[in-house]
Amino acid sequence: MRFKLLMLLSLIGIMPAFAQTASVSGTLVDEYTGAPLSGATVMLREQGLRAVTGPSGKFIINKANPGSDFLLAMAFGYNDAETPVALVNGKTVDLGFVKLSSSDNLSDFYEEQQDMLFDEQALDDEESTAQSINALTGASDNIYYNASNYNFSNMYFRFRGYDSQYQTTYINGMNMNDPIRGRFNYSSLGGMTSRAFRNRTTSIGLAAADYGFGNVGGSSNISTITSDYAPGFNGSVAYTNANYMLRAMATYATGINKHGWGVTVSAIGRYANEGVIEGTFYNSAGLFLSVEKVFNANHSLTLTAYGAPTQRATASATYEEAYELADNNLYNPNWGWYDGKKRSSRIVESFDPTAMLNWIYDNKKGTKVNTGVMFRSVYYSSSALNWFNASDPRPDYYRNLPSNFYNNGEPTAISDYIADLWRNDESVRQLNWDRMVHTNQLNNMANRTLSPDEQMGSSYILENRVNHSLQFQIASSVNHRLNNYMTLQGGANIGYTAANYYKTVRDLLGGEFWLDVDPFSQRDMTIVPDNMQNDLDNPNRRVYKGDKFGYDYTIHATKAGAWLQNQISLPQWDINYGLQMGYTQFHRTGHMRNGRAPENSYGAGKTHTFTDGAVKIGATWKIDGRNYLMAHAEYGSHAPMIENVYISPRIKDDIIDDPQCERILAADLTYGFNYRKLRGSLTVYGTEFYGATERTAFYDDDNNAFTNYVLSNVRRENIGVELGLAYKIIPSLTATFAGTVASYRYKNNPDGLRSFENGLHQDIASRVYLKNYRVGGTPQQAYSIGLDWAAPKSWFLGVTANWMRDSWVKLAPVYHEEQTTLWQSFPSQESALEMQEKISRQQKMNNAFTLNFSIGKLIYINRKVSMNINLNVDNITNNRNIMQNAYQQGRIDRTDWNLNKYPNRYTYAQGTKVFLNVGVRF
Amino acid sequence: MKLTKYLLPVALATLMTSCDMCDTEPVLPPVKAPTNTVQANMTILEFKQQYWSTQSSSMTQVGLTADGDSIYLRGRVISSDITGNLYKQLVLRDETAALSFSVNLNDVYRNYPYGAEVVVNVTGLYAGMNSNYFITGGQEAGYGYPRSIAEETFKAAAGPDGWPDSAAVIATPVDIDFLNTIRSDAAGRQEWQSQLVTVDGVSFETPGQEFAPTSSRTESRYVRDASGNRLILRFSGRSSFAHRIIPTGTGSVTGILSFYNSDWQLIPCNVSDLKGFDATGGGDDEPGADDGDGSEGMPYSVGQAIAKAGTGTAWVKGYIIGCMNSNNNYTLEVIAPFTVASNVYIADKKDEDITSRMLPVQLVAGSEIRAAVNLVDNPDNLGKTLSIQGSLENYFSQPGLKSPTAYKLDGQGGGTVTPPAETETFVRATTIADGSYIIWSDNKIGKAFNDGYNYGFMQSADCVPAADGSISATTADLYTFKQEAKGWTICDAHGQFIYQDTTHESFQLSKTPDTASDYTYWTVTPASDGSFTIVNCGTGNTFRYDASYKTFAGYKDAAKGSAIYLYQPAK
Repeated sequence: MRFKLLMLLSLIGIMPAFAQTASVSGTLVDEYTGAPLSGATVMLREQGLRAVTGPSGKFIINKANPGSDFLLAMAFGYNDAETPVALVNGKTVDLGFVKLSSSDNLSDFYEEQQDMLFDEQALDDEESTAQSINALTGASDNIYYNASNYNFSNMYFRFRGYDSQYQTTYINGMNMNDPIRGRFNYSSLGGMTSRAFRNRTTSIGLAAADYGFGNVGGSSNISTITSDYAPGFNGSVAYTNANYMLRAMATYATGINKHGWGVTVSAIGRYANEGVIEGTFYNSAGLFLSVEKVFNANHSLTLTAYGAPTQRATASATYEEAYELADNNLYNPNWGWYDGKKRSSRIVESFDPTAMLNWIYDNKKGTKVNTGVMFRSVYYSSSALNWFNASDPRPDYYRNLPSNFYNNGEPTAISDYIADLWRNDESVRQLNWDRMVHTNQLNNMANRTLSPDEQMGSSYILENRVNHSLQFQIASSVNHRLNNYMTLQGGANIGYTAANYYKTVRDLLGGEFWLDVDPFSQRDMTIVPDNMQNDLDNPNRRVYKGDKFGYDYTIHATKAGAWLQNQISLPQWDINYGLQMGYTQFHRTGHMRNGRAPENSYGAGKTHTFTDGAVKIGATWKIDGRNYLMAHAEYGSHAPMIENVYISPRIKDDIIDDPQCERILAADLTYGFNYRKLRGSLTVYGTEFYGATERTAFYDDDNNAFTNYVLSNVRRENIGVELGLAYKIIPSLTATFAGTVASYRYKNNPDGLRSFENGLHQDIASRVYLKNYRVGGTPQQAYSIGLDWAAPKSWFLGVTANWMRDSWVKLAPVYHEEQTTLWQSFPSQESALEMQEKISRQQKMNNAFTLNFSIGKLIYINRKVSMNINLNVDNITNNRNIMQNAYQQGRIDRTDWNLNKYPNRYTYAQGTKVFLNVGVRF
Repeated sequence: MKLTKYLLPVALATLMTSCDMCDTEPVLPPVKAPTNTVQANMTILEFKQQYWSTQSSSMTQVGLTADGDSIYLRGRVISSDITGNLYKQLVLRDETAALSFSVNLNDVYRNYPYGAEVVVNVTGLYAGMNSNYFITGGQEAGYGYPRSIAEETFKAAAGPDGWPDSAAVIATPVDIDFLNTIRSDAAGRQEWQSQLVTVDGVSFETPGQEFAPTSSRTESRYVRDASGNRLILRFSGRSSFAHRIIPTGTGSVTGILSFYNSDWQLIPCNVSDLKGFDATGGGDDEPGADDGDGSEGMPYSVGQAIAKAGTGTAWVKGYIIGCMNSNNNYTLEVIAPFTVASNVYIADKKDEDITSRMLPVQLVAGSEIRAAVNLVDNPDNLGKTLSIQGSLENYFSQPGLKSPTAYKLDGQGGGTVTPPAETETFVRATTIADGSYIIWSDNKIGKAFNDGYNYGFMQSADCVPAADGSISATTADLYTFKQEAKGWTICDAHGQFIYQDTTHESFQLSKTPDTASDYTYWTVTPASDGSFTIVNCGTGNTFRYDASYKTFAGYKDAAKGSAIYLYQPAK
């Protein structure tokens, strides 16, 4: 192609005169997607000279002898490719794009399903820390990383224990992490991750990336530049038994035509009338468009637009007792029969339409500039029941469970009776909509005889908790080749977000109106009569369907940053170093004058600013062509996550005392080797976090108040060892092993601040004794053994056995505070210490074993058309005891010190999951 | 580039040591008792002497020391309001004397536990005499003596110091003679009022009565020593003592030495402060304060019996509060008219309303006990104390008492009843023939139905076979199988036939079944694994055991639960 020739000529042009030596260069890419392959090995077969491809897939082999040779390219998951090369003294032969075909349809298959994980993990139960996932996806040569990415997802495995705010996702070089929550919302990609968003470059951990400074947990850049798509049509239909049942997807890319125009379009639909969890459903459609105009050899402009409106019903974490009574680890308390249909109370609606314009300038002399501008609207709404002056309708509310009626921990006649009902009567263990509607209707009837002041609105309603943000960002990045050995990358960006949080009435459930006061602030009305008001300027307002109520505030945030990086590639060494600077500024604007903070809730609040920066350095020592040693280190500060800084943003403008930037010191060391049959790497890593902030929220029964608990000045340590090995038993049969042993712990006793949203108590500060407790929610030991066979006639078979252990229940700070009344019930120091030890003991989640099996076939119908069928059966042994999420409740029984009164909450993973995908490509 | 060889290992080493990886022991929050290091600047005796009055009623606000400081007293807590007898009072003692505080605190013992050292800033409080008893309290309009101190005021003034040491609290032995000698002596009164004392060798003057039958009154009860000296003991109608019966016999009494006008009064704080007397049965609600041992003389309280479910035969005593009507949605009948004679419920309190604190008592049909105790025939048994001997086991899905053998209503005795069923050894039967069998499945046996029941699921009881395969069961649980023309009939030990109806998986029972229908008959077929397939001829349901409900029934699903094995008496 003209492209290739141009590049070839220009490279020859800038080559400095290295007399008596020849060089060969090129870019290794995936034949199917065009995505670059980094970390792969290329070798001049006859001369034995080797190089490893860089982050953008590029490689250069220098100091070669002239003459004929073959370039051998080897990458994990790909068939080896051999290209003849004619080496010329004093010149660099550019092979352009060296394409490798995937030998491992299986990792393709894994990627097909990853969109399911993202949805599940986007759950944001009001009473827990929000889920965080590890979801860096993308072709990578790191065996451990590839295996852990999918195989351990059943237990929400997090790479090196990092929350998702420590991993950055870029699209076309623009940082797409949410400025307020710090993490990237994969659901916004609408499930098109396996096609439209397939061109991904991933840098793992502290490795250098061409597209940005990255993050300590790694980063990923998704390219939607039209010319990066392999032209053709791609369609697939899939069936699965997960949170959705059916998926249909079609993608068509034209490639760039001779007028310089190109288009890629993709559409997706996912649907389930009822997912694997009873009472859930799934409706999602998505559209993707990428249009590019190549003006000339140097300039091109791409417009990317995508969005995927989704509506789905979710379950939530509940108690072991409820799972046992329902005899089902996928029990969902959030639905009930209504009007002959299953009706869910937890419906999530999301729509994140995004538009991005990228102007790419490439002077063909080694300088490439990518400037982009992005607009995004993020809409996320989650429904929930609310009630006023009425009994808690949730079936798993602890007072509705048999254990509430135990005597001294033993069942009684009443508890047995209720247990019997739970087991046999669905209306007892699910929501009773009829009762709620009936109660509201009774209120209506009573209202007819009451004066307007006395009239009652609904006792029960369904409300929507909404987050609607508008985001805008401009970013520009440069990649410049200084000389044959050094490249320079850099960039700058600035963005603005306005995130509006509010509640609306979704359904009055048969009632006439809802009174906009806080149901939980009702006590002590005589002392603070205005306490209950959510909006003092409109006290006792009646709200109707669709009205905003409860709270309404906007966070305005501006973030700016700049980064610079130098990569040096020498024959025996690769060195990189870089730095980044950032600036964050934000303030809260309240749109309601809240009765619990009348001076401090309405209007623009205080502006807060943070500056942060980081430096990173890395070096790879290519010992010989087959062994290498890699080390990285980074030290930086991060502005605190905006959502962690505000104590109770729904009611007041206050932030934690003296918020600081979090500081991170990270380092890793890897030894890797690459022999004909055996390749792998061993990594040791350590990360220290200083001054981090964490927050949990829960309902405190003792104080009848919704409580926010913020931990600040937290110190954590994540250290571990990772091992990945791949052994080619025969060329078509590979055995892989991936394993990690890690320790993610708290390393100090941070400051805790408890704040009650009903304003009836002052904020309470206390010290939380967390030192050496484990960070919960991810397995800290995991092993995977797999066997992949690329069988004849394009069959692919794979089987993986995975063990995940050492995952701890997410702890609640209250169990680690000093219990000042403990001595009253345990009058001797020994007995009190014994009780404290029981209180603070951290529980482990179940260990899990899963066996996954995949089989696939590629059928070439003719030269152009191919069809692929793949079937994944995960968790063949139907292990239904895999705890996915487990957390302690935020409250503790200080009267009787009965630790079973507020038990942990859990969710379990489903048993066997089947994924059948049939696709066609031409 | 040789230096670089060392760079990496050094970096690694620094990394390793900088994170304190070796220290991995989770840290517990401090477990502390509050401390208060303020030293006393006056002894309790000096304080009493300073604020003593010879008037029976007086009140003075406590001032400062001679140096102008607040007065701090230190003492150990020797009282407890856990039974409610010593109500809203806190008594401290140092080496010199003891001091009573009147405080408006419920559960004083939680904030100032028995045995804890307490420092009190008494300046600003009011000290004086209440009917010649020295007390420190608060001011209340209209009263000339100290009344109770407000909760916040006292909590601000009095702080505990360190962990309680109940072993350090020892009651001082005294005799009534000695108390009489110091009765009128100011110095004696100062030193001895509020002290914790024990008087040995005394007996109550009015045994058999309740300590304090009226809840609004505090009763004075007299004990007499061998020489005939008398001492007054005080019991509140709202305390745990209230409805307990004053015992006979001789024993020792311990309590806080109070004073009223010109007499010493002893206020016991714990039920165990009355030691060594004859049987003290029954009682008010106070879990944990009971000390019966299950014998006829000292029966368990209902609270104890509940805790001891499954431990065998014992005597239990409680108030009859009602009976359970299981034929009508499990309604507990607590007032007349009563409709069920097969059981009564007893409790530690006459007005108990929490079912889990009650003990269901089985009244076996045809027995003298049922005739005497049941509420249908004897509705005015309601509220009487029932002492009953029987097997402590689950009844109505909660700890109860079954198969009673002896009883006492309000102390009047009654005889024994049907002898307890004998335990025998049974071995597995491999063939079926006319005879009696124990029905066994999954380490459980099918129990006999209660007399008078005419439907229900067959209850189960644990029964793990011995090493030789035999089991131990009572003859009461035998079921008689008899082959008739239409099939097998199964009868329980009371002669009731077991059959089914179309709607239920549970059993129907009757002494006179409908022999014309197929529902009364069963097919019994031995299976190859030694079990028996027992199928109802009318419904087609299979006799199985369901572990999740712990019952036997005729289930539609022939594979539900586990299979039935039959055991016959070992020869």
